[in-house]
Amino acid sequence: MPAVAQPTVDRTNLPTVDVAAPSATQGGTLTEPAADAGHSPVVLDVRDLRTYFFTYDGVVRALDGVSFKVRRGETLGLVGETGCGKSVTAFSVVRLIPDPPGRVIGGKVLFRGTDLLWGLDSEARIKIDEKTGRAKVRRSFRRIKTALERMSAIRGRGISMIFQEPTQAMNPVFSVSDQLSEALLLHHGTSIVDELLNATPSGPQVRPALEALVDTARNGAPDTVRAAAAKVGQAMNSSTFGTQAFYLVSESDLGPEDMVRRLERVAHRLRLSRIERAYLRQRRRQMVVEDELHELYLSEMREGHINRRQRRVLRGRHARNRLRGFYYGIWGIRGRIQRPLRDETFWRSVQRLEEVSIANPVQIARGFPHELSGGMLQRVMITMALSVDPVILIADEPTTALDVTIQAQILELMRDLKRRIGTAILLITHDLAVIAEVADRVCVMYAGQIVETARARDLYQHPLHPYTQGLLSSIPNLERPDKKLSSIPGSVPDLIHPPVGCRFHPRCPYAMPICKEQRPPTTAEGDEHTVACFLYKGDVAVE
Amino acid sequence: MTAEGTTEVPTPTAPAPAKVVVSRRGRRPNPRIAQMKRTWYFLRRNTLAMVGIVILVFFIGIAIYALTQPIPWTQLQQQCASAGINPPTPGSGCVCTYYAGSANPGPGCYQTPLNYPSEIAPTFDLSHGTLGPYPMGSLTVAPNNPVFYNIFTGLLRGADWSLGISVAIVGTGALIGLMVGAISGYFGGWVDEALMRIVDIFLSIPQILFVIIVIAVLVSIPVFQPFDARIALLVLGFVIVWWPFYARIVRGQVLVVREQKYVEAAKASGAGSGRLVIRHIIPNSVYPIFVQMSLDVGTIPLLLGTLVYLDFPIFSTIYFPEWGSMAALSVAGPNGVSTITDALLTCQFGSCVIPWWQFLFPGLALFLYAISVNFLADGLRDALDPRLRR
Repeated sequence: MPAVAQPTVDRTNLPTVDVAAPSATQGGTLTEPAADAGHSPVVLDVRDLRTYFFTYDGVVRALDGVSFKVRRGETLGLVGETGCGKSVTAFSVVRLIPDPPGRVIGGKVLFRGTDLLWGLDSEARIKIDEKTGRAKVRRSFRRIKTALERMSAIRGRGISMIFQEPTQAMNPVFSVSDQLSEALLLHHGTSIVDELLNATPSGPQVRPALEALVDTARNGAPDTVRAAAAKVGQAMNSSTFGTQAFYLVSESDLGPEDMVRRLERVAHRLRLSRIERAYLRQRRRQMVVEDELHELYLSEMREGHINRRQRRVLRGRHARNRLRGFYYGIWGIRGRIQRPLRDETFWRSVQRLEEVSIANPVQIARGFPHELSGGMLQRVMITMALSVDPVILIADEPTTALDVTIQAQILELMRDLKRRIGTAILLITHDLAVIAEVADRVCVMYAGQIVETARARDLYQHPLHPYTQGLLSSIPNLERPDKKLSSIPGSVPDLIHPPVGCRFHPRCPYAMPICKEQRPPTTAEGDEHTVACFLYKGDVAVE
Repeated sequence: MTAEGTTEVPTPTAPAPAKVVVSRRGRRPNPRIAQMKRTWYFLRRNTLAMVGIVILVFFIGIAIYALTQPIPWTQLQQQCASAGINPPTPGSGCVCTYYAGSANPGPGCYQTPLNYPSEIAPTFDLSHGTLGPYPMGSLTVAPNNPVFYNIFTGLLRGADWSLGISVAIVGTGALIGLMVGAISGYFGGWVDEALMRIVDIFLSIPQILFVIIVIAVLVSIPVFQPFDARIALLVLGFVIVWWPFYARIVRGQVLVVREQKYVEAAKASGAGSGRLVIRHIIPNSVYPIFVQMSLDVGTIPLLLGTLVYLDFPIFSTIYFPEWGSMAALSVAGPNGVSTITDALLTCQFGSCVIPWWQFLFPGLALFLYAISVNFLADGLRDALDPRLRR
């Protein structure tokens, strides 16, 4: 029996599943480390996470006691060979493990103090067949549904993800701007609607400003034109008008008179009709209720019990709002009255694309995913993921499918955005060079366990775990071309029947008898450097 | 900016912004109309789709024309009456060819001997539109039936029925199939299992037999007595046996689409299942149905013809102007003896007149209809699916 999480009767049954009981000695207790004073707050705290896949062949212990922390504004790298459970970790955190067959069976994922795995035990019960010894999972779909509802309050808003293949991660039938604006509306909906409602319609005082803008455009540099356009937009209380005006004046070949007139017409569109206003207000109400619902889900997860009364109230309001919104969704009507919002979000997505330095953002926004290159799409994906100002960004091998130049651009972009917004990044990759480039701290994973955690510099200079040492010595070193590259003998073990004791011992050059019997405790070896290996006899780590 | 020459905007490093489309009259361009324009642009460049559109528009045109115009199709009795023989009784009677719009029966109306047609030799007289015992361009239900129907008129009158019934059946069926298939494929598990078993049950029903039974049973209820109600019943019967095919296709496609990365990405950014199904899964899994629908649309009139061939009274009269029925009538009359059968029989006596026009023209109309819908659907799929258009 592990000394760790046993909050319910149900989970105590679990260790019978792992016949080899490799998790028996997870050292230490789960207490909050006190050494957090000088650091930024921990936004994601994963403790003893276990994810098993219940397949026909047996139980695959994909994650077996993974613990790590991510602080605000920090990049944590997660490295390891293929199949060591890096992606499973990411998906477990946001609870996107395909269920069945997979299941997060234990541990804690604390997202700013909210346990994302709350209610996990009530969703399914795991039973072991007496005869065959095979584990069976009985799932309660209703409870899974409520869990998913709760998670949708976190996903996107709190934790957003970037996927490995940008070309496949976007819906091929909608244009880039459509998908970007969907993300924008989902998370900044109310402010967008407010801005649209509060935009000052064009009056007589606007014309001189527009004339000045056109004049600037005739003999000014792009930057000044942009500034002038932004100023006009500010004057009209609509930043998107500035963007639109900029692209209009810097591209069109109309004469100055016509140009001013056209700009006026565009400005005139900010004057919304009554029905357009009614639609926007309706939309805003709906968004507010949705936000309240999400808030409720978050508080439920924080407090650990369901607030049924509040739920009923909010759900009723939500349903009534949707019913009221039905009229605005009728096919012939909706195109006309939803146009202001669509335009607004279109130009907002253009602005977002500008931010990630995409050339030709208007054309890209109009384009469809298959028309863009991989690097371009990855930047769009990052824009999408970051347009919600997430607390945590999980980047699941974001640069694997890209070539080196694009890779550098993407990494630079991520670093820049991290600096600006303060997002914590969980960077999953098998590319040690990428990790060296961007990560502040690194976790090295092996066969579903974290074997070493250290600051990036420490890890590269003093790798402690034999596996880390093996990994690092298999990278060519430019300064020592004479050094022979080595590889780690053997391959990643079968996770259905993982090696007893330390999972690395069959491949370890320093394997000792004890390695075959016990799982090594995680010990602290210096500041923020922990390792799970019997070679080191430091203090038993708290994590 | 007046002209390229006068502008002094040096933009060596700045990205060239794209052409911004703003409508000239200053109204907000409707994105939906812009989408339609784009679709039309891609459609126009597809020759086959344009051929399909032309044929289809022609058919729809004649259907509308026939609806507005009371074109006679079985006015034969009156004409025979004007020839002085009324009523035309089998065997004894008057055989009239009907020429649309002609005031008098003309030379086409002639007496036949009692035991028609075996006692007279058919003639090959194409000069005035008659060919032996079967006037050219006409359709008769049985050799000894004195009533001839004008095929041309029948084609005009039948356009709306053929088009209307087939589109109604296929459209409703596809809609139901889409919903069932999407739900089944997306939710999986026992929902999928249950829905698919229901689909299997419906698939195991013999289609024609089921439609016959539905009509035969329900037609005795007074509500279903009127002609329109009977047609609705026919559509209903076909829809019941038709939707499972679509449900299967959609489910298969949904199973593929829901495993796609972008669905996962949408999930990861907080989309609920309703949004996932409507925004991400259905738009990506409807295209295969288009193809199936376009194929089925041509099949429905043939099935109606099969019902007529089986001598089942789906319409008010058996001589109903519907393309499939017309084609079927040429091969099988109400008594199982058709003009073509008869003609083939008379071939034993040395001279053959096979009235090929009786099945060729309705068949040709059906063929053109089916193929035009097929071309159009193919073109539409290419134009609407962003991945396929260039």
